Amino acid sequence: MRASRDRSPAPGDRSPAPDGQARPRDGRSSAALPDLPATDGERRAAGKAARKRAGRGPLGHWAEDKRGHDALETILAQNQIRVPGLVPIRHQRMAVSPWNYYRGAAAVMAGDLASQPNSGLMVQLCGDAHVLNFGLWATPERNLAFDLRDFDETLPGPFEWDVKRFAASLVVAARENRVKPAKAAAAVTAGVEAYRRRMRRYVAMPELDIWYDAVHADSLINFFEPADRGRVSVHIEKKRRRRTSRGAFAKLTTMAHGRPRITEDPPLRVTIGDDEQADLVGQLLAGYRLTLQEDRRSLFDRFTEVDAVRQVVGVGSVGMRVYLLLFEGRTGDDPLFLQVKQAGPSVYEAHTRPSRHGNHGARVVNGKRLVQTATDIFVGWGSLHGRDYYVRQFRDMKIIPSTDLIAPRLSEFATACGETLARAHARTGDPVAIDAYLGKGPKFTEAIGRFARLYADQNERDHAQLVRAIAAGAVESLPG
Amino acid sequence: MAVRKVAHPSIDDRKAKGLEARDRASLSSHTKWRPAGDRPDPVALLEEQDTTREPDLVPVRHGRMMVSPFTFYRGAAKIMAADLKDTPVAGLDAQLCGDAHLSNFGAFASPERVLLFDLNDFDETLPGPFEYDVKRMAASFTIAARNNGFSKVNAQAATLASVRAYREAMAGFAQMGTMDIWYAHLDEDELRAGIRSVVAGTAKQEKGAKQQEKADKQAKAPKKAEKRAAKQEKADREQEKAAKTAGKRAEKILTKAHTRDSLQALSKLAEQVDGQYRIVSQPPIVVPARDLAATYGLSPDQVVPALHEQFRAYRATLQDDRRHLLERFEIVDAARKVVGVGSVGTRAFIILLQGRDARDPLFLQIKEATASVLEPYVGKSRYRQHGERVVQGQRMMQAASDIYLGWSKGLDVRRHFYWRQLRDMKGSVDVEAMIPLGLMYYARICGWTLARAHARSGDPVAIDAYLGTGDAFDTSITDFSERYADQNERDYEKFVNAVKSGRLEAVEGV
Repeated sequence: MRASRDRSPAPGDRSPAPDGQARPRDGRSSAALPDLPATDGERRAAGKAARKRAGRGPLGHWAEDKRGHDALETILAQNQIRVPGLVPIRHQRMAVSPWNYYRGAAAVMAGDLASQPNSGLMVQLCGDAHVLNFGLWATPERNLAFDLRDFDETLPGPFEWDVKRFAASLVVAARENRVKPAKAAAAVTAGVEAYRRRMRRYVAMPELDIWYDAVHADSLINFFEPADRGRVSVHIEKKRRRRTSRGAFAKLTTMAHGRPRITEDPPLRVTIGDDEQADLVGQLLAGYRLTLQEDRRSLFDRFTEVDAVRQVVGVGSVGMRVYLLLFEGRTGDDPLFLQVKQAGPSVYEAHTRPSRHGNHGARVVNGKRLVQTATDIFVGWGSLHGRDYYVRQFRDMKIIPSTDLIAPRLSEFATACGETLARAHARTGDPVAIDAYLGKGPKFTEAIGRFARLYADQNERDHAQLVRAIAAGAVESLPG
Repeated sequence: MAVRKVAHPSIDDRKAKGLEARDRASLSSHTKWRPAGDRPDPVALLEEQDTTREPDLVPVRHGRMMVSPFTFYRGAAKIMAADLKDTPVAGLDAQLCGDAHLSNFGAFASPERVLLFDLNDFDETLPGPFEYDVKRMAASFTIAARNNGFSKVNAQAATLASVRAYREAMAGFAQMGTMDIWYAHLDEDELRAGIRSVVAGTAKQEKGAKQQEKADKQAKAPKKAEKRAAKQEKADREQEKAAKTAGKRAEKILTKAHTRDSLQALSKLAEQVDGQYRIVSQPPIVVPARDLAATYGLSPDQVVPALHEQFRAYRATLQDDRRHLLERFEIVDAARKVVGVGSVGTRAFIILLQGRDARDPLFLQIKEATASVLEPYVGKSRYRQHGERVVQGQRMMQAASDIYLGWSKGLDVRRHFYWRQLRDMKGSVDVEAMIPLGLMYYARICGWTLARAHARSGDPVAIDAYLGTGDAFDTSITDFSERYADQNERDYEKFVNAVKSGRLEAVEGV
């Protein structure tokens, strides 16, 4: 009775949100994950064939003359959907250093990656897998998991794009913290080798075992030298206790007229008018609520909205509308913070294909669920005034590393990240094909190492271009 | 800010609501249960259910219910629902399991691969009065204890322990933050620690008591006391040994649960023919699709497309990422497979799928869902699809749920089904092999678990205020349970006589 693999087209995001209906896109087919070929042999052959599309050696090349776009123009083009008043802050933050620039320039790198040959071995990309976008956070069952975060750019794409963005970030971050080039190179090797080794393990693993595979905080600690483990675990424990809704409540709110209010800190946190608050709740949250799984919707209904402010967060995403919302449960001392973040098209859509999701928030949420082992129970999406948003918990024991913390242990941290990235890719891509493409030798790792170095140089030139433009007054910049 | 149309009463209002509920149903009103004057014939209620079942499996259902009053109780949710409708209720609603007897609790793997203890059967789930679940749970402890030949004192103790644990846990949840209640769960590590502390507790407690007794008695009548003490010591040693054995057995169940997966099911349920796995025929319990076609008036050519059509419909009810995961599997075979006691005869199937190769199997179970037995008394579900009713109720009550829960309609669109994984490290205790001490511990974790499940959807503050801090509720429900256990025995007898007289057909030992 064995029949061919039967796959109906997925019924879209099935979003009951007001704006969830798939928007007609311009007739192009949408970015989708591929089916797996039936046999291991065919899957391996697909991986080997990909080497003809893009040899492993050439992955190490970087040709500035062929990038086909101007970095500064790409950055400025992104400002269209942003809050005009915040755009100068974005420029200022990106101009601080090459590392800051790199974090904010995912669109530049997307254009650059697309200008080079790619393997065509598709996975759900994180889309912005730089080294600080790996971190710890509390899962729905309250385990502390080490995983990717930030899925603003998620989309199906060739696996090596994430690997390249990750590898180059190691070099850029290392230079920022005056880590010796040899050590930076060693970290790249460690990270990419970890990716390759882990992918090899997935080749023979049952589908569900891959799906459930996870890196928890305890095993993260084991990536570090025994002498460091105590300090790392103390740091994690300290942060874990502080970075909760209750912690945020103590830090970010004051009582006014008998009610808690999120304190202002312009321009980073500014209060919004009653009309805007009413729209947020009446439209955006009303739609968001319907995108939650029903049991979680009833949980959400146990909370009342108390306050909302506009926030400025991150580097690259400055200017995108972000709201921080405070809710209270039914007992006192029962706060919940949700963050509402504007979502535009992924920076990769211009270079691959449009997302199959009608709402960009839905694209981010569904991508996140495909990539992460376990996902925040309160993720959902909505829209307001023609703009798409996604919603998530704010400070749910999230622990994000800082570069000065990881710089002295870059290789160890890179190893943990490399394994995590491989796990993320194996869930949606074909580990057999990717493994066959990567091969047994050092060819792939060496090529990525070369690329990472060359691209870090390019990033410095691009950063300098932005700094010059600001100095010349051609681009606005404001501290914030 | 504008407020959604969801009421958010203050803590004081919620407490007041709980206390006012005592006017509707005082804590002692749960005692002295008596069958209603117009109580329907229990056998007739079962016969009514039988009409919707697969005719060839109805005798199997009867046979399984005939084993003991305990198995009868497991199959008699409909009878008890009819009895509960006349019992006093406080008017505090929660999402009910609807069939919270002790064998419907168990261990299973969470999405994050931790073994959790939780409720695991939601065929009868609906929102309703919280007491219904508490009463069905508590009476199941009395009946199981009697079934094991426990003394009246031990049966009472286990029953009381389950209700007290419920009440005390609810008091805890009344103090907790909303998210903390939601995330609360009982995992394998906590279970193992609990089992060990119970076993260690017996040893310690006995040693302490022994020394005290020895001192007392020796002061009075030295010789006699020594003899008696020696006898007592022997009995204590035996109990300590029994506790240790029971503890080991309980831990073994947890360990064994880890091995209960699709690969193990494959070795038990499937055979290889021409390099392909297929489900082995074991009629009437397992009947593969190839043999079933005739039963449903379908040709084998029709079965495969029909199956695929339902599979697609089910897949559309999954969360996006899980749908993607399931697309990595393909259907290999399907069969009808009989499960449970009370639900025998409802349509239940299994599907064998395979992932990367034949050694990467996945079994899904498809179970028919009909109207809840509680529906006539608490009202219709807001879900018109009963499969969806079961899945949504399950997610509402469990701390974490199977990633493959979903639903579909049958070929006959009036039939509704829910889907889940067949064997995902599921483990359940062998209640009939339990010693009093083990049953007591089990009663405590079931009581805690039921309270947690209710606190997610109900109002823990109001329920806690209603239950109070004394043991009035615990003893009332224990009294109810004894009386209901008596009734269950009478019903069982009637049922057995109906089989003997030929009114009902039964096949035993299947």
